Amino acid sequence: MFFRSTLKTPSMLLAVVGVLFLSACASAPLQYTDVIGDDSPYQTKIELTETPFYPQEEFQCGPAALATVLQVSGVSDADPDVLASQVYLPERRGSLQMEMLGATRRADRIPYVMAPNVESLLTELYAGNPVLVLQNLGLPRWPVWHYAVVIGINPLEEEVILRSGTTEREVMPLRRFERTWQMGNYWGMVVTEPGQIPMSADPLRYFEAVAPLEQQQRYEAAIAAYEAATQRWPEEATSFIGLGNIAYQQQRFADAEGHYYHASELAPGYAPVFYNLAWTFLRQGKNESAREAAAHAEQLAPDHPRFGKARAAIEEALASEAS
Amino acid sequence: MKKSLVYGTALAFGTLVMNPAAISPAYADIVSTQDIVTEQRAGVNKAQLTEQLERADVQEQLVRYGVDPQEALERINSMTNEEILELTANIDELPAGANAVVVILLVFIIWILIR
Repeated sequence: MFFRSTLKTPSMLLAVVGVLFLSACASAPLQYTDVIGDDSPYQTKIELTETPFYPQEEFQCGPAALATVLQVSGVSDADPDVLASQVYLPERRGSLQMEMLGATRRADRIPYVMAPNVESLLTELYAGNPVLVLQNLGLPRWPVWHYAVVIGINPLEEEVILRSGTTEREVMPLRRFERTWQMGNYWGMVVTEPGQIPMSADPLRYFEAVAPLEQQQRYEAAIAAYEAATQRWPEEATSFIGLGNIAYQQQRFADAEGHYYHASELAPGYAPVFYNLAWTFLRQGKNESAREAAAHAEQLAPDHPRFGKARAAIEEALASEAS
Repeated sequence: MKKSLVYGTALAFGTLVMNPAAISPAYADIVSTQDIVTEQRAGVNKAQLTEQLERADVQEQLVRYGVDPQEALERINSMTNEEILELTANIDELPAGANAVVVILLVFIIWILIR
């Protein structure tokens, strides 16, 4: 038999068992017992049964898991075969995390990478969002990387429920699940419908997820995301800077000015707002206002390599315009 | 004269492929939201360091790993500079989520070992 023949000698078997125990001893403490403890709000079973399932073809758990969460976020033509061409890396026989993020952006969705912990996972599940996770189903030194989608949890039985590989409804002990997820550094991605923000999101993480879409000129998705952020975190200036920056790129300079102005009220000491405001004034021919805003940006961050030279940059642009 | 034409064409083509501006916003004068969040996270202007990233080299690397050249370019264009840097630095070590068959085999081996 294959398994016996690979483990011919007792010493080798001993070594393998030894590695197993060593890795078990050395690993960090698990979080789940605290998170589902008696005083936690998570005491009832939840299972997102409507989550679609795509049986994995060989090596293709990445595309299958991605298709699952994209479908949930309303990308109705998300298809594992098409996604495979976007995320599958033949020489590695698998999909890398950044490829998963990139393909999500290509579908005009925000790939939100959760704060890496069990509490975020539960927060998302109870909010109705399945979570795409990276697991190591092997050993730390002999990793077997795998993507799956967590669709439910039963705190009473200490079980999680996943769409995984060829198993439509895999029930895994919470303890074992957390070990495998811990070895994947608790990496989990949530993809919501446009204008919806993941329940566990914190502002900076969220803006980090949205900004690349703006950079890639996927403006519709980015605008929906920033507008949702203005509702969720009305005190955050970054949403308004984002909206302003998109308006600027689309040459809607008056709109940009409005957004930057709003941002400046929320963050009166933040140089980038006034720097961008200066350019918006300049583009509208409001040269004196441009100079004032630039001077203010410079005053707020005199040592910054960019904002500290705001006036010079604006003067240079004015001079080249005049010539 | 012919030589300069060749150089000119090569240069134009080269910049088209490797210039990040090809997908960057049309106006580079304002500070981008991407730079803002990068600064907020890192406290330093890391974004400017990575601006010089040669996307053509990255594309070549992906092609070596079996991706179609056009598809490789589209993958790169869907990633951030930080993601591309990490990809090129660690392409062999990064987790590549993959095969369920190996998993089942492994679980079975472990089960045989510990029963």
